[in-house]
Amino acid sequence: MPTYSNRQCHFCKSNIRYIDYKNTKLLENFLTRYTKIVPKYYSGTCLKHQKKLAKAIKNARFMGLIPYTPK
Amino acid sequence: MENENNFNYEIMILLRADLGEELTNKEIDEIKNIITSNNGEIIHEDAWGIKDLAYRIRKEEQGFYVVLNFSMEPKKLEKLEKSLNINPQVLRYLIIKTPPNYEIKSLEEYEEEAEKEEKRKKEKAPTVFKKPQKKKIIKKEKTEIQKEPKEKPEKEKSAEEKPAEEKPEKKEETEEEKSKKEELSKSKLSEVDEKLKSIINDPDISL
Repeated sequence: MPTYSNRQCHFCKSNIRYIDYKNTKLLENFLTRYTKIVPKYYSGTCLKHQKKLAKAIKNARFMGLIPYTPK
Repeated sequence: MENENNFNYEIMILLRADLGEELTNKEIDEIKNIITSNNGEIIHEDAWGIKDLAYRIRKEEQGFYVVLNFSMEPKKLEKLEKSLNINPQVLRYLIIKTPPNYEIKSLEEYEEEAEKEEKRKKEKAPTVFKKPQKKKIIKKEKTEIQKEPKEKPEKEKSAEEKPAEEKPEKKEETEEEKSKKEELSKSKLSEVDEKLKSIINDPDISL
């Protein structure tokens, strides 16, 4: 989970245009340990990418790649 | 793209894990046939194999993942969806319309990327280890701070003792002093008032 110090948006920084729901290791960086989506005021992602991220995470959850709740 | 009406899609299918190789291949071929028979075109295929699910789906703990990239007319997607909905071997499926600048990546490529990032993090980690020196300096400061307070309480004690002795004498004086102070304050107030009035009457614009 990213901290306050990483203020710059991760996706703007690394020039990622499309956030893929299959890339679970990337998505796991933006989940808390209770597998909730990290709000953008913690992670520092911009609104544009936060919306895409949320969609990707929800798609991955639906397909059983990421859990809804911890076991 | 052969047809102008075709759009690029990506479908992920979750099949039962206990089917065996023959049956899974059959199911995948059937799905492919539906796409190709409706003027569709398969661009890329990626079979992930059997993987553990993050949670139970229809009392199954494992599933067989397949990802297909294809182009198709949007109206004919309904036929595909209908057949998938009826099929009991398909646990879940997800159809996504891919953007024009989409790069097809297989699961292996994503895993390789993740490994590279982990290596980068490990390389970066040793540079952070210079902190202990700073901590020592902080400890020294703390010890200095701790010494000072020891001296202070003695002063405070002496200060506390003195007022206790002087207090009874002061109380007698205070009544006289109060009257004096009031007079002084009144005279001071009047002086200040006069000054203010003078300033208001002829203000210095040169300032």
